[in-house]
Parts: sequence; C-alpha cells; structure tokens
Amino acid sequence: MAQPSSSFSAEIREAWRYRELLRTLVRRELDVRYKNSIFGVAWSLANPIMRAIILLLVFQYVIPIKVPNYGVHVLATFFPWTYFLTGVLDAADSVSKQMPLVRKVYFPRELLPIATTLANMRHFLLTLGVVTIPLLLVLYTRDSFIHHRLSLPPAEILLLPVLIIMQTLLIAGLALFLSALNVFFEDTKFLAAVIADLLFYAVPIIYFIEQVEHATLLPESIRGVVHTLFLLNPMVVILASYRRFLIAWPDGTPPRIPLTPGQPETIAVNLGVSWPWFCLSFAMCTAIFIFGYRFFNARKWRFVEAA
Amino acid sequence: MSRPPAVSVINVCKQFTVAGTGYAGIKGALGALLAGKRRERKVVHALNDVTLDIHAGETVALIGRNGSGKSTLLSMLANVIRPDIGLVTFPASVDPTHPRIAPLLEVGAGFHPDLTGTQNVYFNGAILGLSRATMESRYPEIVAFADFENPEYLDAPVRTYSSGMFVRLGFAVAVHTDPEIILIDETLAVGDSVFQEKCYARIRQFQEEGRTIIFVSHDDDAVRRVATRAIWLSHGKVAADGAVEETLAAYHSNHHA
Repeated sequence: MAQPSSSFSAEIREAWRYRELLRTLVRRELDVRYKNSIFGVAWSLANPIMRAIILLLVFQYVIPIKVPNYGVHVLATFFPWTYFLTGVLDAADSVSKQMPLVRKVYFPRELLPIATTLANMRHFLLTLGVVTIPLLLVLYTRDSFIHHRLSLPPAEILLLPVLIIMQTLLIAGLALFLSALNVFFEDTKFLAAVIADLLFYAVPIIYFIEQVEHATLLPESIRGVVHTLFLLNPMVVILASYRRFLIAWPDGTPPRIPLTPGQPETIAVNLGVSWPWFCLSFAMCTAIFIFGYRFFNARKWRFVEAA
Repeated sequence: MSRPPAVSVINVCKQFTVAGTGYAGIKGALGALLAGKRRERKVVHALNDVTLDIHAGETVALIGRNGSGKSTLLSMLANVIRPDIGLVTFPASVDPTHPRIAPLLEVGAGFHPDLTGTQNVYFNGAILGLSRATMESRYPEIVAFADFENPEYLDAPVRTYSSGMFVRLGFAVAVHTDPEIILIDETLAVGDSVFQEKCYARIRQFQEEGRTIIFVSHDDDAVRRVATRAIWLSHGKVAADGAVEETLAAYHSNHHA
C-alpha cells in the first residue's frame, strides 16, 4: 500500500503492481458489453455498422455536397468521436458505481477509470478494424477503377497509432478527472453528457475545419481568432487528423468545395492540421492526462468518506 | 513477546466531516453559496487516539455500539481509509507494505449481475490480489466450498442467483485467497445452517493455521464461539481490551446502566 506522501512515480509503480487486476477489469467490461457471446460482439457492432450505412446514404444521396465521398469524410471522424464520447461518459461513473467494492477492498482506484478507457479503446479498435478500414478499402478500390489509377491511402496513415495514443491519453485524463469529481458531485456525469453533446457541433465532423478558417459569415477581424480557438481544442485536431490520415486526396490535390453555395470561389479541404498544431495538441493531451491522474490521486483517499 | 505483531495500530485518529442537511452535490454547494452561508458541516471523531497490537493467530472481536468506530477501524485495516494521525502497520507480514488481507465482501459487492458465477469468482479473486493462474488452480476448491445444489448455475448470470448463493460464492472466494489477515464485518457465518457450520469450520481451520482474524459483531454468541480476545470501542476510544467474557461483561454493564 502506497504511503501518504507517495510520489507520482510511486503511484505509478503501485498501479503497475496491479496490472493483472487491470487486465481483469478490462476483460470484465468487455464481457459485460458483449454479453459473453459471438452474437454479443456482433450486436455491439450492429450499431456502428448501421450508423455507417445511414451516414453514407444520407451524405451521398440525400444531402448533396460537392465533395467526392463526403459521407466517407464524415465517417472517418464519426467513430473516433463516438470513442471520445462513450469513453468519457462511461468512465464518469466508473468509480461511483463501484463504491461497494471501493469501500471494502484496497486496490489502486485509478484502475477503474483507466480500465473503462482501455475497454472503450479495444472496442474502438474493433470498430475501426471491422467497419472503417473495410469501408475505406472498398472506397479505394472503387476510386482506382473510376480514375484508372491505383488509389492509395495517404502515407500519414502510418501515424494512426500515434493519433490513437494521443486520443486515448486525452480520454483517460478526462476519465480520471470526471470519475473523481463524480464521487463528490453526482451531477458531474449529467453535466458532462450535456457538454459533450454540445461539443459535437464544435468539432469538424459534419463540416471541415477549413470552413471555419474561411467562414465568410464571420467578420474578417475575428476569423483568425475563432480558427485558433478551434485548433486549441485537441478533439478538433484529432478529428481533422483522422480524416487526413485515412482519406487520400483523389487526384493528388486536396478536394475543393465552394466557399459559399452557388458561388464559383472554392477552398481546399481535408488539409489536416499543420505539424506544429499537431505536436501542440499531443502535448496538451499528455498534460490533460497528467493533470487528470494527479487530480484523481489527490482525492482518491477521500472517496470512501464522500458517501 | 519477541515476534512482531500482525497488526500494529499506533495513536490513530480519524475525523469525518459529515455534510449537514440540504442537497448533496453541486446543487447543495450552489444552494449554500446563493444563500450566502457555508454549508453546515459536522465533525465526527470516528477514532480518537487508538493504540493496539494484534498478534498473529489471534481472533479479535471488535464490539461496541453503532458509530463507535468499529467499522472505521476495520476499514483502516483493509487500507481503504487512512488515519489522519497515527500509523497502521503490518510488521509480521511477508511483505509489510502489501499484507495479504482478505476482507469478506458484503453481499454482492464486486459481483456483476450480468456475468456468470465463474466470471465473478475470477474477478473477485483478482480484486483480492490473486493471479489468474492461482485462481485457475484454486477454482475447483472454491466451487466445492460454495457447494451449489445445481452446479450449472455457475455458468448463469449471478442476477439469477438467490441471495444465499450470492453470499456462498463470495465467502468461498474470500476464504481461498490464502490471507494473512481476515477481516469480517458482521457476516461471520452466512447462508443456511449447513453452510454456516462450514463457515465456522473454516474459521477454526484458519485459527489452527495461525492466521489472524478480526471481526466486527453484534452477536455475543458468535463472539464467544470464535474470538480469543475482544476489544470494546466506545466513542472512538478503546474502552476495554482483553479476555472475551470480561470485555463483554464490561460492555453490557455500561450498556444497560
């Protein structure tokens, strides 16, 4: 058991001692989610598959937007967004709902939100492998036939693991922060759900980040500030990067969309974010993780007394 | 005695701040802020300068009225609560920083209703610090101890279990963790009379093996039956500590006076 004045590294060592419990916790979350069966796994994937199909149909046929494969652009950001949303919201009550156990047995409490995060990551990787990647393969094959030249994913796809690690750090940091707060303030989870829902519109899923940069409806003086504020949100950088890393520019140049509907002027989209912004975002995600971990550890010994 | 004690509690104090009336959570904090006053808080001295040693092989009963600090002390031994002042150590443990302690879990704590009995057994083992390999080797013993009338229930979700089956399984896991120190809160013996006898037999076996047992009980008969020593806590202080009959007598004379 860690002593009261334990350092950050001692806390990490202590958590590492319990890695087998962490594995068991992750396994348990997945067992519960998949209800112990092959069909359970299928059911848990039915939702993302249906969503993917509907998204593709709607943005391909119902809402005509002059970007090749617009639906795929939405799809590339949609599942990472779902990972963020469920990762944060599932973890928010990961400690609160285990209070009967927390009150009785010692184990590093941070394992609870971390296990929830890892279980969600496993599920996200499954969705990525089963839904997103095959769909992209179909797309690339189709494009190769249409353009009579081999259509390949961008080289940046090799950075996908970095992106996933960065997003997981962000989610784990928020999970630690919210799960600790939720023990003392049970409203935290509901508040987080409301904020997360609003955040959907503040990240580039149904639009492109470049449209913010060139938003003609905003006065020119504040456009730059707004764009910078967007880029300071790690989820904006993460989602724009998923899009850039997964979807190739069809003919070697970025796709273009009209600046305003019906006007001839166009802007290039799916440029991703510049590397300095990407690195800054990575640093922010790491900082959020460390902050969350420290916030959690500073309060974990009072969880039992909070109830 | 030259051997170090199994548990050493030195000058331990613990205060709890209990929120007063009003809403809990953000609403309460906001409400208090708007009303322009600090939230009502009451300080409770759960433990007040408690010092005691418990030696390996002892079976100690903690007695006292509700709110006397028994459960707080037990939680502290389980390392889920830390003292404000003072120290709790386990000098006789193989690894004094990580003593093998088995708290007997409350009914259903740590059991997930949607998972099967087997899955829950493994989970409970993991939470009590056992590796999967160890659990695999002990699983047959655990199941034999739980002694279900219909063993096929082990593969059914525990939400289909009766409360008796629940506690049987929980008790079975806890007693198979090879603990140095066993902590029991109220549930000394559970289930039907046959299973209760089995629990007592297991406790006797633990005593013979020289393990340390600490339990909280309001049941004098249970205390007389298994304890080798009783400690009476009153208002967070040790009021009496010694032979079972003497401590019980002191407790009851005060209680009824």
